[in-house]
Amino acid sequence: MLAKLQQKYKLLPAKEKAQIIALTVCIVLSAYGFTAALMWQEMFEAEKMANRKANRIETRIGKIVEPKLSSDVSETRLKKLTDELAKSTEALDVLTKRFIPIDNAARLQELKLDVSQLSDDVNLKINTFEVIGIEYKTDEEELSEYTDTRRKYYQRPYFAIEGQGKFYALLNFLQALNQLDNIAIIQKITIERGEQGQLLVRMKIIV
Amino acid sequence: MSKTTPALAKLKNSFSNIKLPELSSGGLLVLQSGSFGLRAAIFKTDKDSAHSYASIKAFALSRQVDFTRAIAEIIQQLRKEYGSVPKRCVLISPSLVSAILSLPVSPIKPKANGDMQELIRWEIDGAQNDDAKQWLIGSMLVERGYLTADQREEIIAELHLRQDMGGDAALTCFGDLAVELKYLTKEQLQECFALQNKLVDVEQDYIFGYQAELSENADDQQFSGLSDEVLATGNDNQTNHNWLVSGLARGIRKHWHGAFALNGLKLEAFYPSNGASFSALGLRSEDNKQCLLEVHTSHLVFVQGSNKNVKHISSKARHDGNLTLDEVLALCPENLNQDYDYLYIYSPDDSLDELSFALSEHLNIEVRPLVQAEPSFSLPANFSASNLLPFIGVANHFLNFSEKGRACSVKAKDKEPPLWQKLTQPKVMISMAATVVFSIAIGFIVWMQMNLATQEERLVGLEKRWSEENKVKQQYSKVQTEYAQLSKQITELESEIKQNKKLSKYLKKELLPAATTVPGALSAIANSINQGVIIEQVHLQTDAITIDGRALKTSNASEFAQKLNENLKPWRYQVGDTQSVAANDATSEKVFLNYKMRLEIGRRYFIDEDEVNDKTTTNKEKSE
Repeated sequence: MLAKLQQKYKLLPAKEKAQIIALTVCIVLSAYGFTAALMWQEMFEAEKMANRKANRIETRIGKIVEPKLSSDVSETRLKKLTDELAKSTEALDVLTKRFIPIDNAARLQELKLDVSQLSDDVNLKINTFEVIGIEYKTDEEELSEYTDTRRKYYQRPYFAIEGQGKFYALLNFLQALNQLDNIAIIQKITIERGEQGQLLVRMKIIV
Repeated sequence: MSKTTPALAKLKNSFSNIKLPELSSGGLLVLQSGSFGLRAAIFKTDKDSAHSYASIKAFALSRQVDFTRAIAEIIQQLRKEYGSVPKRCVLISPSLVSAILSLPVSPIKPKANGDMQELIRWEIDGAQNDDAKQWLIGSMLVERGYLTADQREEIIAELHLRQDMGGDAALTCFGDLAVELKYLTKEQLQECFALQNKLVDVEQDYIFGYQAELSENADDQQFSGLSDEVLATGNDNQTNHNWLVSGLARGIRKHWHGAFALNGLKLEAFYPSNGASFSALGLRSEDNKQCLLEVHTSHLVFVQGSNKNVKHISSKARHDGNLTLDEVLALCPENLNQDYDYLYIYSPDDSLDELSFALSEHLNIEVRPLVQAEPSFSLPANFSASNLLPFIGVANHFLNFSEKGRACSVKAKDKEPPLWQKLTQPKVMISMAATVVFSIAIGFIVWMQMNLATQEERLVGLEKRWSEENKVKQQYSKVQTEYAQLSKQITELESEIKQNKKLSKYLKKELLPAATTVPGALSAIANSINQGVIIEQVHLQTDAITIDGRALKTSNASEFAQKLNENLKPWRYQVGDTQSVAANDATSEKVFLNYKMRLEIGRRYFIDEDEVNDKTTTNKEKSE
């Protein structure tokens, strides 16, 4: 077959030979260009994808640094602290169980009544009885500020009482005050000698 | 002893017959072609006391018509006989023409080879036709041994007779008539025709070798007889110089070169058969003037010259039949005896004694035969040793053991042009450019394929890395988040615990103790009052107590303070600053006491040892 073609080619005139050579060269160049273009495209795409992936790794992952973890932060310590908090809260509950809840006006009034009756019982005449430091909360939002109930123990409402009586009446009053169901602690007291053996007393009773 | 001696002699003899191949590949193989076929002789360099020379070592011949097969047969024979065959070869061929030409070219300024070739081709044109008779089929058949000289005479006579008769018989050729007369076979005739075709080139495209005439003065040899002025200026005043030239058809040269190459031999030069023995004559005679008559089967060659140069060379075809005096005299000048003492005749196949005598008588000159002694090795049957003289002459000339001017060779292959010239040929440049473009194109494809494979491999690697690092990063992130949450929880718990402790401390230390401290402190104050003291005002806070009163005497005040300090210890108070000042006025109840007193009582932050002891004792008692 090839020999036949060769023979035919040899018999062709020079001009036609040149034309065949030119045509063959054009076809070869075109085929090469087409193949090369396809391969270039493929190579370019592969390189682009690889570069993109590399850039993605660089920007999104970057340098991986191993997190530094302290041995103080652990589940064991959390549990230990939780237990400790539970114990301290329990101990605090014991200490504060006789305090009036801050939003419980009924209990406050009951205590006020108890203190008044107690002064009558021990014959301590009360001249002035004021309840100071009560802040009424209108809604739950304001009350939520007091979710940390510990704050109320540092700034409690108190009774400001002015009265007069004998020393032992005062002493009984003070001792009996300690026996009430709810707590009533005298934080400040001023005693002045009055006329006829009477003592003028000014008290600040924390409730 | 008598038994061992013959055995030893036999062994010694057998060892002496063993021919080991020569270790060295040096030497020269000289070949001669002709109608007879191909002859070859191996030459080696020998030395005697005066000078070096090439000596013949082995000889072989082949009657093959085909060049390549003839050479192969020769090599085989020589190997068998001598052991090894030199690679370098020269060939003596009747296909070469020789002439002395007067050329306008100075030996000191030779022209370029191309120009010399053109010049010689132009000048030698007439000389080429004289040798044509040597290729007549009759001469070839005689030289090849298929016909005797008498048979040839007979055929020619018959041929003339038929031509005279006319008719179809007049058209009969020499070869056909020889076959018809059964002097040779058709195959032998065809063989000679084939040989004729191989040895004669019809295209007449010749390549020439040339040799300038050397100076005859022995002392002036290196300057070729030129003067100081000529050598200094490079201008040769002499218009023409004699050049010995030889020519060979390119086609024949190509055939021979190919045949030698196929047999692994390197053919280096061609020498003409005509005048080849003149070079050998120079090895035997030191006469300043020498002349030689070569008698060949088909023609005569007359060579005149000196011990350095060939001065004249002419050839003439022989008449049919035996060589006659007239034929020789037609070639030799009558006055030969004026310049030459001897006329040498080289006729290897016939001694020509009668002719020599007649020639000597006629020319009045001594005629000497140029013959070669029998060599040490055996020659083929009916082969005269004198046939070796052209071999000896050419070998010594080629190896520079005889004067260069006595022969002229044609190079077996044109000198290769320099590499840059080869490379700058348009075809070569186009081929190189095409090769470079092709290589670049292929290289580009290969590079793209390799880069593609690399990038794909890189992408796979990056995908894997992305997957792994992403996983690790997520794990680290999860750990960090959990750690932060845990840390936050722990911090919050610590804060809660701290606040609880703070509140607990506040309640225990400050707020709750006040419930018992105030009544207790008041009782302690009441219990500390003595007869000489009146309390006017008590101001009691959690941290401090201030007492104002009156005392009858300072001792009463001090006693009160001292006792008060003791009574307040359980309630963790202590008496601090005290003041007793003489009073000028009475109390609100109109009681006058001499001194006003003021006590400042503060918190007690240390524990007395007595108190500790007391507490320990109390605890023990309680436990009991």
